[in-house]
Amino acid sequence: MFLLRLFWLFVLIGGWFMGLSALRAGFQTGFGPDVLLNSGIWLACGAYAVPRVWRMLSGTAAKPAAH
Amino acid sequence: MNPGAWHAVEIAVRGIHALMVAAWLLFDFIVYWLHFKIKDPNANLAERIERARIMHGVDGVVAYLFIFTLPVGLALCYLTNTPVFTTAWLNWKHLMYAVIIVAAIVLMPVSGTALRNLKAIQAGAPNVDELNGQIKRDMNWGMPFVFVIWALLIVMSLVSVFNIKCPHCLNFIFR
Repeated sequence: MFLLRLFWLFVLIGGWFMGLSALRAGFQTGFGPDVLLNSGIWLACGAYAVPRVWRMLSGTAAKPAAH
Repeated sequence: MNPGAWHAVEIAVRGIHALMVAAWLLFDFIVYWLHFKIKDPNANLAERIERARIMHGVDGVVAYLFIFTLPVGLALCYLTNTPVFTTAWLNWKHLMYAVIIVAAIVLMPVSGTALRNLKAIQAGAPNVDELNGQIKRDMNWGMPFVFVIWALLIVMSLVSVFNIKCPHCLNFIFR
């Protein structure tokens, strides 16, 4: 359980930090495909982690995965 | 801190970073090797459960290595006074790592299936075929994502190796 929480916190913090860093680099030096893709994917990961971390912190149970 | 000590710290962190990635890949190979008998419904149940426990434990180590590779890499950026997004090769490395995170998110729901289902079978669950089928299905479904992670790790390692520069003369060491 601890590892799962750590993972989602990592995705949240890492996603937003790296995504915003890429965005800032893009505005400073231009949006090449590498910087553009970096900002997109990292921010998407950070955004995806927000509801999960919210559920973790609020103690709400997650929906079971369907596959 | 004097320049010599700073340089020593940088080399140590660089070495830790490289060793972490090497260990990550090696342990992932071990998990892959272990999974074959785990998904074999004809193998001895006790042995399958023991392998699944070991696999789960090794997978946990892999997760820690994976998670802490990023902060160690960022520490290396700080020590070498390198902005996080600068050179093209570093940008592509970060991008590949982001794709690995996406693969990890995709693999998350299926990561505990084997141990959970094997314990249920051991406890006398009636739907043995269904549980075994789910183990095999989930593991096979996850394989392409595992191979993508391996390929990206190897590419990232090669990109790093071929962009290492001598700190004094600033020439590429391996090209």
